[in-house]
Amino acid sequence: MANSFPKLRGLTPVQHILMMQKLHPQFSYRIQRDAVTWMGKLSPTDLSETYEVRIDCKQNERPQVWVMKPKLSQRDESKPIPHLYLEGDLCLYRPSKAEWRPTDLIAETLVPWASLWLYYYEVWHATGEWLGGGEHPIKRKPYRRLIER
Amino acid sequence: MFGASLKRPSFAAKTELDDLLFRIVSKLQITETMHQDAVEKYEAVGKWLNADEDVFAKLDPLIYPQGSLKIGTTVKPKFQTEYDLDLVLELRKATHLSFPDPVKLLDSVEARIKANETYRKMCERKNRCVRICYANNFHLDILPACPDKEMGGTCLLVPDRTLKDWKPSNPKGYARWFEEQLIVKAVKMQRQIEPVPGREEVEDKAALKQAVQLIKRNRDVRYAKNVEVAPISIVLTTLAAEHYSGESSVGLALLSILNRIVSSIPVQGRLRVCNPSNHKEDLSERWDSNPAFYQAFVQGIRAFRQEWEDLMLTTGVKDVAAKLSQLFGEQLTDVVVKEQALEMEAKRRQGGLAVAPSSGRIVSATSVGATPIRTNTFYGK
Repeated sequence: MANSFPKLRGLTPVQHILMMQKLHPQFSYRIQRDAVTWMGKLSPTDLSETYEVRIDCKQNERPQVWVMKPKLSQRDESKPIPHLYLEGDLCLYRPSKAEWRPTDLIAETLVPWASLWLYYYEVWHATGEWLGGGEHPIKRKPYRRLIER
Repeated sequence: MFGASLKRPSFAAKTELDDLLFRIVSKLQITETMHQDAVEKYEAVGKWLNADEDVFAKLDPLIYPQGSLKIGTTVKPKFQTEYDLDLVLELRKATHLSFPDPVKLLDSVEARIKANETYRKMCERKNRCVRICYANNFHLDILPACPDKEMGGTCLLVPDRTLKDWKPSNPKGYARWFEEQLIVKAVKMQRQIEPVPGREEVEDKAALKQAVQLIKRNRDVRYAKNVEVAPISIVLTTLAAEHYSGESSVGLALLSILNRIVSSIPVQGRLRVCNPSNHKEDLSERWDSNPAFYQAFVQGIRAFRQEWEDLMLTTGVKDVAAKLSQLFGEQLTDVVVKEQALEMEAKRRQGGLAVAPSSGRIVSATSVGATPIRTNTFYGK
């Protein structure tokens, strides 16, 4: 128990927490044994819904971004929501391109990307097209690689 | 103890909605190229008339735009491929006394136009004008007119085939009035904001012009199955300009215009829409002989007001798009929503976007205090 405070490779949790407070003060955080969880609201444009978003950051794991409210929904039963991991969290960057590294601040990467994701999600609902670019992975084991350097 | 408080909804300007509306209007109005083409075409007609030494050259004819072409509120008709473009053929050296029979004037304009090999097959006679059709582009409605010496100023007299008489008109006066509503009201309201917008800035993306175009488009959609009862453009344009109070957001401008039109509907009798450049002229006179048309207008404008208020309070691109589809057409809405998203995407690729603190709103990368959005690739299925 002595030192179970979450420690992310590269950056300390405190650095993440401070930057989140500075750049996205609407997010509140909670520290658990080896993880930090943020909860806050994002509304990408003045036409958008306001979404409650949760960010989980656990030691030695890729951080995960979830939309809590309103619940994400499919356009129709045959079409899954684009750019989601199997667990249902948002797929915001391409791991092999190293667009996100453990040395990157969540506040400067995942939060802005999540807002963009939500915008394109709404446009996808309206038009049936994901207009935010992106790539679909070739089928293979999805995430083990993601935390590798 | 206090019961549920009745909260009045508060309305705010929505940049993204105004952007979508601007895109809708841009798709509906005549393009710059087509506009230039129309100018060339009507100037050529003017030259042809001027080349007629016997009659027209002596009368000093001048062709100039009127109506939506003049005030910049053209809207592509929903069920025809051609725009209606209205022109005045003012015979500046004539008086109505030069033509004891007003129909003769219409006939001689038609005859002169038809004397041209090219125009002959494109020419069609109408009640007050001679129409030249440019297939799939536009038709030019040429309304011959003589200066009204009694009234003076820019007042004209135009022949009416059905009435076999002269009717007063003042297209220049109307355009001046419309521009005044637009400039004076917008500048007055925005004077509280520094710096005061210049005349051109106001005119450029004038909310009133866009509001008029949206009202006309909604009319075309709303009365699509019942075209004959639809209120005419000049009535809608006049009402919009009269009730405009200077908002620079087109969403808010339309909200207040619709609210004010609806409140101006009298409990008894009918609403009278007079020509602001000639108060004796009742632009809405056909409501007298067709009370059902008036009822259709009242129902339509009330419904539009309610729908617009709902739209202004709607969140979620999907629901907003659904409402816009209903009001202005599905295809058009789909095109503009995609266009807006693609522009966002282009800005993102150039690194031009940031996220604002506290809201997570996507803003321009130059916004103070916002977090720039770094390059990313949305991944996963």
